[in-house]
Amino acid sequence: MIRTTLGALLSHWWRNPLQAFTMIAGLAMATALWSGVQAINTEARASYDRAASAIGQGRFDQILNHDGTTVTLTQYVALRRAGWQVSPVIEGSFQFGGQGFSLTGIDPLTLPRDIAGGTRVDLADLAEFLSPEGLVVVHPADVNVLTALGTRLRSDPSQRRGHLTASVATAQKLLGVQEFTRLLVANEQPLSRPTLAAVAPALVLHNGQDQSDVARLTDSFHLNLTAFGLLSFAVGIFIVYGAIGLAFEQRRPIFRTLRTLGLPLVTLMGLLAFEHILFALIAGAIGVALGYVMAALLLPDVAATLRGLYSAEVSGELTLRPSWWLSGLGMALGGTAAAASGALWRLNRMPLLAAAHPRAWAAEAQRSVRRMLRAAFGLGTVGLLLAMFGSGLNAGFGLLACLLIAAALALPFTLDLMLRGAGMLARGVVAQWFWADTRSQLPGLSMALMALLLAMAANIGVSTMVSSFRLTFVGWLDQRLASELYLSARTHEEAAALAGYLEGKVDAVLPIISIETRIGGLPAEIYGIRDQATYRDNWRLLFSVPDAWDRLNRGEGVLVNEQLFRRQGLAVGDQLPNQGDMVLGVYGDYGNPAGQVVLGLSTFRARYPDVVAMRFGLRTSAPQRVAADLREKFDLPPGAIVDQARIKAMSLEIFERTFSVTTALNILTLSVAGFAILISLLTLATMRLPQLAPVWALGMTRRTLALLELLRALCLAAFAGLAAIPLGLGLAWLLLAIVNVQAFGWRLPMHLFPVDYMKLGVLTLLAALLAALWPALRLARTPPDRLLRVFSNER
Amino acid sequence: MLQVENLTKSHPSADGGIEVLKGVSFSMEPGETLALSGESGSGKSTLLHLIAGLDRPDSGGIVIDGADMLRLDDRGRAALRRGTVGIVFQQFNLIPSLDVAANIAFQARLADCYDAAWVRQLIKSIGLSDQLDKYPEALSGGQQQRVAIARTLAARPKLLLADEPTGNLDEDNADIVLTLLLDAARDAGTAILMVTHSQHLASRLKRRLHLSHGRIGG
Repeated sequence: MIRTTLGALLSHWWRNPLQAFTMIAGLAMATALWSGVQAINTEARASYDRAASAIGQGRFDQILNHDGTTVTLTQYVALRRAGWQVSPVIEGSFQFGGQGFSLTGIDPLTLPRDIAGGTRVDLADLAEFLSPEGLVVVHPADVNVLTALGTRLRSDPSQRRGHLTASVATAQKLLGVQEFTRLLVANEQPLSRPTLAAVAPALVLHNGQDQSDVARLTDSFHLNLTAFGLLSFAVGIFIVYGAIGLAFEQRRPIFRTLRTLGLPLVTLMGLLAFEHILFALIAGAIGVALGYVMAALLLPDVAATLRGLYSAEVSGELTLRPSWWLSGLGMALGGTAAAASGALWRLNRMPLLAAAHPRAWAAEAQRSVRRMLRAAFGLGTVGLLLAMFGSGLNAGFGLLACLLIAAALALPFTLDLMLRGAGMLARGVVAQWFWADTRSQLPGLSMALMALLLAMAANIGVSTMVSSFRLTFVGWLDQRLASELYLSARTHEEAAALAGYLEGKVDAVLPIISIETRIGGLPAEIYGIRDQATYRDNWRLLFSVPDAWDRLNRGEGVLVNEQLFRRQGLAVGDQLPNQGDMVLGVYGDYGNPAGQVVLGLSTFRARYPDVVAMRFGLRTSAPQRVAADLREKFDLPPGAIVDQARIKAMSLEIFERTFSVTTALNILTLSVAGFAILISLLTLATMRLPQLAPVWALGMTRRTLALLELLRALCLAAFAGLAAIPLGLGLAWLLLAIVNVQAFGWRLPMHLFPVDYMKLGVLTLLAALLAALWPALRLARTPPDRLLRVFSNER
Repeated sequence: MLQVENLTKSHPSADGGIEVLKGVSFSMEPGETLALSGESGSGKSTLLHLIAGLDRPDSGGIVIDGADMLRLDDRGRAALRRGTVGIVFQQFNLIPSLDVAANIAFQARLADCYDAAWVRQLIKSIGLSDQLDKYPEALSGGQQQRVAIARTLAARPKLLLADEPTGNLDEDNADIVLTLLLDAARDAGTAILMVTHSQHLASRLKRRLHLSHGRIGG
């Protein structure tokens, strides 16, 4: 009985491959977007964990290449020769015996003393460890696989499974690389050593403590990605919901026949549940695989973003992890359950003798419009309460979810009102039929239109946020990077000589002097700035006391960046935690995750007399001449003088990469919505003939009917687009005013971009047109005998 | 084979309920053929649905092959429909996604009593041997009804309930289908209770009952 019935149920999909494709594609795309984002998040978090457990991370300062690439042997040798106590580390992974291994190469001779014991290399093994043949420390469980590796193995139970430790030379050989991943910086360093910029300008020093803060700092970034993943998933689930509802409705007569022929209800429900689980598993597996591809494509950009924004090192390579396979399949199953539960519930309550009305599904959808409207009001109320009483990032996202879902649920009612209005204005019988028929199509298309509304609103909202951010950021860069040249000295002596030489040769020399500290448990920097017009003219204070600049220079208080201000919940005039200084003003500091405090230069020097400015901003009307002059006089290396344009370009590059992931997700979500319309129109087309055949018989040509179908898709997309504009702007406001403030610590002014919205509108209409083209062509080419069958008494 | 005792049934309405069946009683012997006629709205289809266990009466009793229908739960009634009672509807109710061969074999497989030789004989008798790989949409109404009858008889039910099985067919096709139904039922030893408006078709069955305003007439 089970096999026979299952065969009959599945035969529906076999005979309606388009519907099966819709189900699987919708669910697979939803899962792909979700699991892709999860893969990126998981990989990044695994990188933080690896970093935290890796040798020296979080305990020692580290030197890395500024662009994220490797450190060369020449750079390492130059640093050692200059007196820097650094030790090379190589990290990588390789496949051996069908398994993946991670490998850390170290140099026990130069390794900082405090961690030498943690490297699992005894002195007795040292000679062998450093021998050309090499010694690799492995977990006992990995010994068998690695026997043929070509090096001696030493089994050590405390070694992490799948992870090997070897000398730098052995690691170079096994990984096939020559350069180092990073250099560890010993805590004790000779006082007289030259600056890093002087010896190796391409390298940057990362504070050890910062590494342990990475996971904390990046939480907001990952939460943003997760929210986008969920939004995309929701859009995909709309397609699945529509497809399942349609399939249930089309199969209602079959369900009735099966029950009549003796199939118990409970068996039918069980088999349908099994069928949907089967779909969910197939689509989920495809979705996870697609998500893997998507994540692999996006991960390098995410890694660059995290490196640029938070100095967080994330591997650009993706590892297949059981956790996100399970998470993806779980979401596919959960999404299918959510989408199918309503249909199964209706089936459970359906009287056995209920008429299998072909339009019952649409009629039911029509009835549900009011229910959806009530739910929209309910969600709107919850959103209002969240806005009034909620706080934090989760409340922000909750409010966003309420707004989006409420708007989507209210869409069918809104569209119905719009179409009713259009129908009342219509003149002529064809126009009146067109609007009435469009209204009757609404239930079948409402899910796809809701998906389109969400995707468009997300697009408008996110693009408004990103573009507002870009405008503000570029303006802010112009203000903050006012100096024409930025100069780095190699030694204290050189710094003093440069400052002395430049007096009178440039308009102003602005020392860039700072120390690193922690305020409120998070990393922060304290800067000292000179009383100079450059700051007063260019630094726009968001909030301030009167005469803030004068009072700063008199040492009566400090300026803080917006991040610190908001994180600490400060108000202008408050005392700064730890320091006790009064907050005189707040300045925008976009793109910096750390807190910042600015003191007057004299106050800074009085408090930190040992700190010497090694970098300078130079105000000059002839930057090229000054740069050439300095290079000639002081024999400065190429990286010692950077002009304003280059710094701006680098900052903008980081900015663009930061939002490349959200932009990509945005485009994917919009594509999914376009796909939803196509599939809805195609599936509805199969049910349209009984409605269109009488109109055809009354004298309207198939070509005219097809053109009207195209026009209908365009009208509905245009109406949904109109509704998406206010929703998208509301979303942008929430992102800028709530989510961004919570996630990054700064609030941005909102700008409007009407031309971009118009372009998006045209794009959406084009997508709707393309989606409607195929069903319309099919209609135009429908043979008359198919239309005549509608009137046949024998059917 | 079938005992129907004092059956009553009302349908809810705005006025509080319409009494469709008002104490209907009759019985049938194994292999007997009975035509049930009556004007529209007299309760013929309702009676058939109650006997098939598709609906519940307000009062009265139905015993089929010794099983008290009213004491059975959904599973029990479903089991009875699978093995003992077969139903042929006016609207054919074939499974559109299965071909003719699969549709004919469907109920027998569902009841786990598939007999290939018997199914072959049925297919031959309905004259659709060359249409087995076609889907219902490609068949005419008469052909579809023949498939529906073969599907029901393939499970060798003891009682076949037919609700105006020829209502959608022209006179010639109706005769062909009824002949097929009676011949195959005779071969299988199946009793037939057929609802029909047609006096001509009713005359071909052994016994006739007339239902009028919810009561058995003559």
